[in-house]
Amino acid sequence: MILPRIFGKNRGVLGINERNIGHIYQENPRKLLKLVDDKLTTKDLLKSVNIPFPEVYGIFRAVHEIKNLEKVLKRDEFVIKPSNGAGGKGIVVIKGRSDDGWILANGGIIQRMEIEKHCLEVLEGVYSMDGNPSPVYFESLIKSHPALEKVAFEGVPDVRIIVYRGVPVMAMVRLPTRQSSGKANLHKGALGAGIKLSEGTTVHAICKDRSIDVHPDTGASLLEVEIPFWNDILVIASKSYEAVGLGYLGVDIVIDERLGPLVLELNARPGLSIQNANMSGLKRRLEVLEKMDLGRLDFDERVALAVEFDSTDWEAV
Amino acid sequence: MKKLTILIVVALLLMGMLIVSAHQETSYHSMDADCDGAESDDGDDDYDGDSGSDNDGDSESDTGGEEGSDAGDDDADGDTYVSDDGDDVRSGTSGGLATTESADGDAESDADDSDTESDTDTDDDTGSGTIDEGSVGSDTGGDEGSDADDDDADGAGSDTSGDAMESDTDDDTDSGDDEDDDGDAEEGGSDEGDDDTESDTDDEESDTEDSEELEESETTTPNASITKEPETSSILLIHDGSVSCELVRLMGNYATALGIPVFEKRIDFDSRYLHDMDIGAMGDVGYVVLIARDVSGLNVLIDYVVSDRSLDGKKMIISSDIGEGMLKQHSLVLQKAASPESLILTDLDDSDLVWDALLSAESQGRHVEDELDSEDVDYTTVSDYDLVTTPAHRLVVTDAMLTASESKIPLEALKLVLILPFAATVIAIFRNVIGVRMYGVFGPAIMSIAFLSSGLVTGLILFAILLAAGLFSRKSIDRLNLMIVPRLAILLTLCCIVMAVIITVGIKMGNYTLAKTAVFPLLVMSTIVENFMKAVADKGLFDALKICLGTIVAAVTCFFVVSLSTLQAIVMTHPEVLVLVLGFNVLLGRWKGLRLVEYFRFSELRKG
Repeated sequence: MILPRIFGKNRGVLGINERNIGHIYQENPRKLLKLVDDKLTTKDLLKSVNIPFPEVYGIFRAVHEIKNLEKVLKRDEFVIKPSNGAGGKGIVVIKGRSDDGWILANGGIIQRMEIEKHCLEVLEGVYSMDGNPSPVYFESLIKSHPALEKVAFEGVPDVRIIVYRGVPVMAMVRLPTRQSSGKANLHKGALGAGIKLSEGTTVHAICKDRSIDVHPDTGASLLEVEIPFWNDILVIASKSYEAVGLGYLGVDIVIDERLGPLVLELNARPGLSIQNANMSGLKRRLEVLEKMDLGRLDFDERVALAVEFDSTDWEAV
Repeated sequence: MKKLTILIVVALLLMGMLIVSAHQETSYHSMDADCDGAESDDGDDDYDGDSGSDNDGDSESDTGGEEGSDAGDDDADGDTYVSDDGDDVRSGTSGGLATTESADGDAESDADDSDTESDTDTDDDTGSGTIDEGSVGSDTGGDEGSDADDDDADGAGSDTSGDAMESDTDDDTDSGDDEDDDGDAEEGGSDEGDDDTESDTDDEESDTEDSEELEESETTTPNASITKEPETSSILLIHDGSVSCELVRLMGNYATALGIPVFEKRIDFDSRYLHDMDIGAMGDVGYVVLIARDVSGLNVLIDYVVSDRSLDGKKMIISSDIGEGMLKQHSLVLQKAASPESLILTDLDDSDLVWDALLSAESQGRHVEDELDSEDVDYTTVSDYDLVTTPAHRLVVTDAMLTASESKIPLEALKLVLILPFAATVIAIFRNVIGVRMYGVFGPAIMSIAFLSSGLVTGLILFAILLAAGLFSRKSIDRLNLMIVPRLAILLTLCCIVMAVIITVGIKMGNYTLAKTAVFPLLVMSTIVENFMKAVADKGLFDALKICLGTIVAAVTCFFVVSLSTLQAIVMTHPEVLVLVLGFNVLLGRWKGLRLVEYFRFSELRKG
């Protein structure tokens, strides 16, 4: 049409229109979407295929259950999350206890009363995607793996992998910055560093869709960073497809210093900036897999396939 | 499956195109620049030659009136012509009138000089300087001048206020501002006015001016005109902003110079329907002349003739900017509703030629068609024969329009409904092809429709005020620590309060436009303000404002699309184009290309 003529050919970039029409609508049936929209449901499914995830300390589904908060509040470190949240809304990170309350991730103090009020708000649906009431749960606080300490500022990096019909097709690690205030959301200012699937090292990095080489806060190089447990991560990503059955899936994985890779959440509409982070388009990778019959492969074979394709730069076949 | 959908889409598209192309020879006119209402100085310049020195006086008092307030304008319109226009300000409280007059009073000082200058010509000239905005202004000019002048001017002045108030007792309303002698002056004024027109028709300058006065006196005393000019039938001129007020006034002057009474009625954003027209007071209406850029003019005329049959069988001339084919198609509704003696359609650009032709035809007792032929003006006539020859499926639309109008559904409202899909389509393009972020999908679309009824500038100002109100109240609402839904309810309440205050202040200042048009836009915009506040909470003020900008850009673009007169004419005459809209949206919904913003988002990737 007209736009390519003005702006030049589109080199394998997957746009929102094509992602939605070509992949999400086809691969992700509507009835499966609710499996990933609710994080507690996702955790149940992950459990059924033995995928590790952060330990859940307690779940509160109704207002009257809030009075049982005591047993959770005995712990010093935890994260409060709405089960139905989106974009990191409603998440409170508690990293320690002080004399007059709990210490927040940013160093502030939160009282017991405020924690209760936050839980009630979550139950009311203030932080929900659709505004409906949502359960609130308490989860263990992840301690970032030392290998990624230098490239993260006050927060836990997470690895995002796009999985197409069970085959990992593209990956990046999202690194918190001062601007993103410790959160790993790209639109809040976190960095995205693309990872070569076949090697598990970062190849390119972006901040707000523009290339960047060093971490703006720590000064560490963002290239050639090796991701620990890489093969395990690929296997977990591939197995997540079996858990929920979504053909176009974004898997978010954190790497805990003691427990290794844990699945944080699954995403049915993963963003497209991962292409910029990898300096590579998704289109061709998806086209290569689209033509193949992947039904009979198990997760190990799918990971092997991804590594093989990636080492030849997805040109083969 | 895929092939089937494509097949259906293509079939739909073809069908729509066939229907549209088969029955219209549309000449697409570009939309004129908006020239609503503003009395342009150009109009003055054009006619300087005609009306000579006293025109200076006019124009100055004009501007004085404008500086005063809008109310001054309204009033002036009302007083220049007939009482039916007075209902624009009919709900005017005495407070409103007071401001109006004082505003006009401000104009005095401006008008004074010019008036006294033109006094040298004829006393009557000064009196007629009153005609438009500066009526009260020249009033005082007259006071300072000679006695004769005084009488005359006062006469006009008191008429003005009488009309504006639509009260029968002029003396009562005026007594507060003007002195007792008003009452006498009025009689004297109207008498003199009558005399003048009869006597000095040869003097061009006083002529044009006097004719105005004549109209006024006619309005107040309809009998006078009938007794005076029994042989000439009058002309009802209905127009919208496509002709400037100045031009309309001069057209009126020209007509009255020839002894043809003209009654003027303006349709505007705020009064897109005609009502309370006192046809009886207009004597024998010979011709109805409609000058309107888009279909609105025809729509309101149809609505009028359907509800009030007093215009049935009249001769009608319509000048419009919409394509000839569609204009003819749409005027079939008028033909069927009122069965006019003759119905002539011309282009908007030819409206002045048509007016000239009409006047000379009237004054010389000839046929307008012959005059138009001799002036070489393109025109089309519509008659009952066209109703017979029109294909049945076209008549279905005509009948539907007529039925709607007869069922008290204003055709203008119908137009808004029919044009809404186009607005939604524009929004769809903005989102899926350009990738603009905005609040909601139909919010901006409906907002553009709201702009249609309120006017673009008014609408944008309203929106800005509401956003500002929301932003300023946010801090204090946040402090209350409320749950989200009651918080939004509070926000909506605040919006309504702000709106009510604006409307009330507007009425106090004599501006009724807001009161008439603000309700619908308010409802639409409050929902957008709600979305805006949500976005401020979620994404921060900067992002929220960016999305807000996207919303406004989309809504304004939408507004320009839905106000295309050709498009409006198409949906009114060929509602089946909505099938095309369906087909287009199916295609748009299947379009996989990169959005415009994505070309920038992935610019580095596409280069590397």
